[in-house]
Amino acid sequence: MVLGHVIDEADTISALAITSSKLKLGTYTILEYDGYRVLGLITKVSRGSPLLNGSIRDPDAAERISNMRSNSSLKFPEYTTVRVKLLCNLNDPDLLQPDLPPPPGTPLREPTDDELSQVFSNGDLRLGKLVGSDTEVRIRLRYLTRHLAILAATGSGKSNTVAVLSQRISELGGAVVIFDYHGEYSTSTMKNINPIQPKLNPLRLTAREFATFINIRENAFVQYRILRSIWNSFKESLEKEKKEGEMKLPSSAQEFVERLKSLVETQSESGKKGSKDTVAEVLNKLEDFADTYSSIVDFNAKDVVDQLKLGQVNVVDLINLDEEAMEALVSHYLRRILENGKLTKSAKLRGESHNFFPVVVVLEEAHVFLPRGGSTLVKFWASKVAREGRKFGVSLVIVSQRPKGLDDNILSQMTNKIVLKIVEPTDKRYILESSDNLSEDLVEQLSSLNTGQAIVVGKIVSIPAILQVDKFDGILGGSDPDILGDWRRAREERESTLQVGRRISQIGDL
Amino acid sequence: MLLHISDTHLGKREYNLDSREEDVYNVFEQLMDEAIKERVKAVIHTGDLFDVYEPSNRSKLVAITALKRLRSAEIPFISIPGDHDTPKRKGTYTHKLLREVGLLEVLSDLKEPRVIEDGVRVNIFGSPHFPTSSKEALKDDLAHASPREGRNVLMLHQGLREYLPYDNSWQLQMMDLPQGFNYYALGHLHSRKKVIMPDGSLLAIAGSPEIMRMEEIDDWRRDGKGAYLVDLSKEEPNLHKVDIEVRPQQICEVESQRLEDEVQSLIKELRNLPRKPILHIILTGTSMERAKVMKILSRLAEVTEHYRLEDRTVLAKGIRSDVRSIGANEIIIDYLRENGYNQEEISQILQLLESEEVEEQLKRFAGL
Repeated sequence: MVLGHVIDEADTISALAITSSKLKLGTYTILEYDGYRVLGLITKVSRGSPLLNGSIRDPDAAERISNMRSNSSLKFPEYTTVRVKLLCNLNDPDLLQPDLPPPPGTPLREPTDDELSQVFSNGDLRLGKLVGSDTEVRIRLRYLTRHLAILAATGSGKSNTVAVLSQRISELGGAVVIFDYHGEYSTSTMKNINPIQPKLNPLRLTAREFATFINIRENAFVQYRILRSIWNSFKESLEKEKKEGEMKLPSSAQEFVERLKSLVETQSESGKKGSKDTVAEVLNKLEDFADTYSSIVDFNAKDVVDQLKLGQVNVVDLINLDEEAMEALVSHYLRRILENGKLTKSAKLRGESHNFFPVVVVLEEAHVFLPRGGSTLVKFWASKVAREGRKFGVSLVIVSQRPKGLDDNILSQMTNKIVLKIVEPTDKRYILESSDNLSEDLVEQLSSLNTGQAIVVGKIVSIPAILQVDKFDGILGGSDPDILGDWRRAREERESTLQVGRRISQIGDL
Repeated sequence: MLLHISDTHLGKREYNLDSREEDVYNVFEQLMDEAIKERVKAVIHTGDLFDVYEPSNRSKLVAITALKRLRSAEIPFISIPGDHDTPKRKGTYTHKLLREVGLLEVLSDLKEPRVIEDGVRVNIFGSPHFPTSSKEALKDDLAHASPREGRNVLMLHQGLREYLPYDNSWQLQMMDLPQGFNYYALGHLHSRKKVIMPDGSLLAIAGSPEIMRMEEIDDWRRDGKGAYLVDLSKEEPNLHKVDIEVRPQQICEVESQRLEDEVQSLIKELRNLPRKPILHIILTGTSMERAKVMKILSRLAEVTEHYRLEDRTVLAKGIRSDVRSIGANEIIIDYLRENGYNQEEISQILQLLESEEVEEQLKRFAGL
């Protein structure tokens, strides 16, 4: 069925068409001409009548003319024009954009299901359905190594998208690591969860990494010198204990720091390193380290890469950690995962086997870890993953509801994007500026998306798609707390404590 | 003027000695003498009047006789029960008995003060002891205690976290105390303490008037034992120590090799004391034959009321003769936990077990 015809001058990007049927915004259409079969997206719809055009200045005339419209015996002249964005040529195996514009008079018709599937369902992982149709949207996982940003306002379905994506990757036999900022996933009913204890084994830190954790800045080379030498002698002392057969690992961050401190003292006694002040500075920083990181330091913790499981959603629960500890943990884990990817690659080149596998790393609340301006350790390692991860099978997925708070460098390297509803104008502009493949007309539509609807751009899809993300069929832990219920429970608990307490205190007869 | 006394533990019988029981009665009588001599308007007693909640007839008789003297002098005895006075199961407070015969008054409601006239109106508020498991209820009650016109006194028998920071041993922190009182009279801790609060009010712990445990000896040497005379004529109360003469006690740490010489000089030294002391010998160094030690020590009998030995000598490398470092509480906690008791119940059971009565019985069994 012909829906309308191209009028006016068209180019290879868009065309104007006139129609008498009620074409809706965001629907797809097919234009066939000169051996091309072009899929178009309706990005603008206007309606008008030559009788009631903008030049009318007589209200009475307008009323009389509009009465004609309700009179069914007369054919009232009116029209709809639509702006069609030309997406791709379906006759081209690579689905490229047409290089010839449609001639005037080209008819518009509805696409068949096959035509839509050819474009949107050619991937491996189903994410949802095309808005306004039953066509599946499947993403192409091999392009996930070009990284992905999931951006959305709060409550528009971010966590649902992450849950659907992660669970399906694991079902396909892949490995996902989620840094679970809010404890949403670790307490969810998601299948295949492999919880990873958020622990950091200082023995696996490099001296530089440790120096950063205890806040020794790059230019404080005397402090770094002191730290480096005690760090090494600490490791040596452990090696020695190991050889002698009686090794005692520190049981807490405090004990660890005490041991390091005693090393600082013996070294500064021998008198060669640093002035008193510098030594005191290092001691202060060591003590601060014990206070700040006591929750995550564990000398018996397994390396994160040894804990990752294939075919599972590996969840690192960060909920009980404070920001410094999270920062330390996430950066360290990113480093270990990337390094392992590299090792595997070079082992393979040498013909050895190494049982590490590609990993998709999901970083929630990315604006906290990768803030615009300023440098953090997570940012350092995340940019490294963004730059080099593709080669070593490490994909980064960053999730954020504050896109403008994100580091622009990293955001621009996330060439795939799933953007859910965003209303904030500066957020929209920021996303547009940091994406090569997102056009202004798409960005304009972000405000009008409903919960769970998203625009997907990047190589994971053939062409940008607007889809309804599937609903995760389970419960996520992060849903809004039942605050009234919590208050009521707290009050009941207190009342019963008081009641029992009173009864106990009145056991005797006074 | 008020006399603040506390933790008199009538009936306490240390080392199973008649004389030690008498010592405790003796200081109580001295306190009554002081009250009468100073013509105070009231005696306030902040708990642990008796050592156990069902005291012996002998200790009740001592209390009755002393309180009668006070009544003849028209001095009211205003009290709150302490943890030792509190029945451990369904039962009646001895305080109730003595109130029935008009010998003392008991404060049991923080909303209803006892008012006395002492130049100014003095409102005395008080609450019986609340166990740790009931501390929330206590805090709730305290929040409803509001000071009135005149001077205000609050009597409590509770562990303050500032002085007893161990688990299960404190129920209140200073900041839990309601504001606006002039004098916070506390019992429970056996050492004397005095704190000037930021608003100029005074918190005082009267302490026990006798040395009830070896651990109190140092404090007694430094601060003495006795009561506080509280002058409330001014907004900011004035405190005078009233010292009571107690039987002297001494801790003597002796290296086993020097025991003989040390005992010799102790005999000389102790002979000059006005009253025969209690002597605690702590033996250190290498182990000695028990019979020999006891024989040497027996010479102390004539100059001391009682001497006791704590053997901390070393039998072999690293093994000490005493085995008291085993934490009985830890064993009990583990046992109860394994048998499905929750934290709350465990803490209540521990409190029952920690009463001194149980401790004394255990010591007797163990022959200590």
